[in-house]
Amino acid sequence: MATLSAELLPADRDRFSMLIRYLAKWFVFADPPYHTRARMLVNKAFSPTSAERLRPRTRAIVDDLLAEVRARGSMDFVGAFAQHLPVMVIAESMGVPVEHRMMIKEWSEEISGLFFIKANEPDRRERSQKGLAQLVDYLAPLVRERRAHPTDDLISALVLAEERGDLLSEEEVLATCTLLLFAGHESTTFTLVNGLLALLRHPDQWNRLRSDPALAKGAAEEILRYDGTVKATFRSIKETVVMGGKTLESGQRALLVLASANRDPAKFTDPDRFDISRSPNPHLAFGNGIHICLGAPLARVELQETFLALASTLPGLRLATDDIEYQITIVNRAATALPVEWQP
Amino acid sequence: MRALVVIEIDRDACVGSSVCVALAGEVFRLDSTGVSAVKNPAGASVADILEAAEGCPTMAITVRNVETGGVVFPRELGTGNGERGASP
Repeated sequence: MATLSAELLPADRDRFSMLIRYLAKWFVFADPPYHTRARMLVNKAFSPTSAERLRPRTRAIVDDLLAEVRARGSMDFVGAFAQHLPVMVIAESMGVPVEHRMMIKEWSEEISGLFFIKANEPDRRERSQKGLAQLVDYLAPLVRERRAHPTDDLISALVLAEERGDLLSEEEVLATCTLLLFAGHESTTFTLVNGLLALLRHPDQWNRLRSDPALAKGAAEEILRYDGTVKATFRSIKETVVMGGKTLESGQRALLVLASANRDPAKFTDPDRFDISRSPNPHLAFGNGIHICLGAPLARVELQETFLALASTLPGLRLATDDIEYQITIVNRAATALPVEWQP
Repeated sequence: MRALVVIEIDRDACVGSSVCVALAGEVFRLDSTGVSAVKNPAGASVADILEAAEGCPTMAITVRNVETGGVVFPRELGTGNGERGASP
């Protein structure tokens, strides 16, 4: 990642060389042509059509997770549900054993400190590099195994592409796997949480969804607009441009505040109102342009299936507290817990 | 070469991912506003055009048979979100 390298002192560049090297191979941070080469290898697996094929399996995982808690009458939605579903879906697609998901989550959490800018963690770069190294060490044998015995999972697809045309080096394959595994669940987890919070804080909207499941699609879009977890993304300015009367100089960095665009009164009528039937809803929660979120179609399926299931299987679902604590980060908004209760 | 398909692009749905350009650069281009446009509907095989349409992250591309006008992509997918509510 050029920006990480640029912000570090030379001595730190040595210290964080592994982190810099791998993140430069995350296509989300790369420019074409590498970006396009790497992304196109996995694009089909994340297309809307592919995401639809994962809908029945996603629904089954949702039902299993809810079946485990239903009789209890209460749960922490983060700990009992939201931190499991997305990592299970992405791990299964990739061919990573789902029973290792808590380990994967721990390393991802460490990695995330760098991007989400944990304000209270001055050692976030060290922790991010360590988390990434652990994830790479974990994935390397899986990648070797798929090279010897390919299956129909995503890791195999990447390995086969590598062998077919020397499209990606071994390190690029590993970097891409870490990217997919990491980016494939963190933000979905917290958008599920923010979404349930928004729905339960707007009982009129929650009741509309309960009585009309066809609103699930619109509800997912409105959740993304209203409180999608990724509030901003970074860009490095490559060429000086004038935008909105301001000059952005080559070499500067810009923070694109998606959350602000999503409440733009010029684009959205009554932007602070949460309305699950809002249409059109051209929100930017997944970004825009060549770096638009690869996993958007899959995240949509996960959001839709989760809220449909919650609406139909947990009667009287409500917040158990109004006192919600958030992680102290700059670019994402993530509740640390979401206690809810219902009639078992 | 004569075009075998008609390609329609939903400009409101397009997010400028340029996946279509990456997969079928002779057929699609991004216009000056960053939105996909058809350059030459005969610029690639139907299979490649369908691959580009399927790869679009927002399903902004519709492909029709040039003779019948029938939709070739997107095909019916069980995408209805009301399905669950309809079952017990």
